[in-house]
Amino acid sequence: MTRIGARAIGRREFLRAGALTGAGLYIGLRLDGAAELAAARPAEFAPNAYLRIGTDGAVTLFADHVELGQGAMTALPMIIAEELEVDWASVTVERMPPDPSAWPRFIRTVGSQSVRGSWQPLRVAGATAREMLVAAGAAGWQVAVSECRAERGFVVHAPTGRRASYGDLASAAAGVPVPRTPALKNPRDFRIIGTRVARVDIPAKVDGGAQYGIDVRVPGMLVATVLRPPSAGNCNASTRPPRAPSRACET
Amino acid sequence: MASFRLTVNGTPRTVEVAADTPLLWVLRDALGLTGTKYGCGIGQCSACAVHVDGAPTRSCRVPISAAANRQITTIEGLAPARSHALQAAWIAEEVPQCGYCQSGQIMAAAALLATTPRPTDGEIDAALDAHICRCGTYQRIRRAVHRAAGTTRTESGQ
Repeated sequence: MTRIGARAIGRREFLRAGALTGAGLYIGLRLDGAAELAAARPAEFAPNAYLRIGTDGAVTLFADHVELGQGAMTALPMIIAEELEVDWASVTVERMPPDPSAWPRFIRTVGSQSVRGSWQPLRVAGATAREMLVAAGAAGWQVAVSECRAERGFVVHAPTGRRASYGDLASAAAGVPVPRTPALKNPRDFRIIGTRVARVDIPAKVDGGAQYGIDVRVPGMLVATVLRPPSAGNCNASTRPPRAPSRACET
Repeated sequence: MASFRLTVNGTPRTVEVAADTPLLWVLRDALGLTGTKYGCGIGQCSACAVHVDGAPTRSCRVPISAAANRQITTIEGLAPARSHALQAAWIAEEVPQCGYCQSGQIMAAAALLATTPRPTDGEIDAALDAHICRCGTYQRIRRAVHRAAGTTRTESGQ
C-alpha cells in the first residue's frame, strides 16, 4: 500500500513500484448483468474471450483494457482484427464484461503497457480463430487446409475459387480443435495495424453517452465522499459539514 | 424539500429537492442526465456547463431555486443523433481524450456559435478559457470550433 508521506511520490515511481510488487490498481467490482454478457450464445463462434462471430457474420471484438482516451479500446481490437483477417469496418467493439472470472488474463491498464502487453496475446487470439475458420472451410469442402486461405472475413479455396463467409462457417469452426501455435501474419501483410482508424470511444464522448465511474448507479448503492479538513491537520468535529446532504428525487 | 418546475431539453420536469440543491445534481441524480459532469463543484473547471435560457452556465453554482421555470439544455439535448456541427467537428478532429470535460466544452462552444457564428481565436478563448482540460485537448478544441464554424485560425487573428 502506498503511503502518502511527506515526500510526494511521482507518478512513474508509483507505477513502477506497483508493477514490481504486483500491487494491482484494479478493484474488483461485480455489476448486475455481467454474467449474461460473458456467456456466448449458442451458434456463435467464440474460441476465446476476445472475439465472437455470429452465424450472421457479425464480428464482435472485446477490449480488455480501460479506455482513458489513450486509444486502447481501439488499438487492441485492431490487433485482433488484423490476425483474424476481417475488415475493420465490419467490427463492433465492446468492453470485456466486468467480471474477472471471465477474463483470460488479469487486466491492468497501467504503465503504458496496453499495446505492448497485448500485442502477442491478441495476435494469437485472432490467429487462433482465423485458423479454426480456415480449417472449418477446408473440412466442409473436403480439401486440404493448405489450399485454403482467409481473406477479409471469408475463407477461400484457391484452386476452385470457392468462398465461405465467417458467418457461414461459425458453427462448424466452433467444433474445430483449437490450434496451440497458430501462424501469425507477416507484418508486411498488415492492412489494419499501422493505419489510422477513427477511435471507437469518441462518439459517445460528444453526446453525453460515455459512462464514467461517477455515472454508474446500482440498486441500493451508497455514496461515499472524501471528507477533507479545510487545512492540513485541522480535523476537529467542528470542521465537518453542518448537515447531511439532501436527497433528490423526481415527482 | 420543495417542488420545482423546469424545462429540460424541451420537456417540462418537476423535481422535489431542497431549494439549494445545485442544478448539476438535479440533472444528474433527480433526472438521470449524467452527461453533465461534476469536476470541482466550485465553479472553477466548467465541466458542469449547460445552457440556462441559452446562456452557458456552470450548473454546480446554480441552486435549483434559481433554475426553476427556465429552459435548461444539457449535452443530451444539444442535437439528436450527434447532428450538431460541433459534435461532427469534435469527432472529425478527434478532440476528446478521456472526454470528461468535453460535455461542458461543447455546450460552451455551442453557446458561442449561437451568438458568434464566425468566431476569432480571441473569441473562442474568451468563451472557453474557463474550461479546464487536464488531457490538454485545447488545440483540437479550437480546431473543431473553427471547423464547425467554417472559420480558420488566421481569420481576424488574436
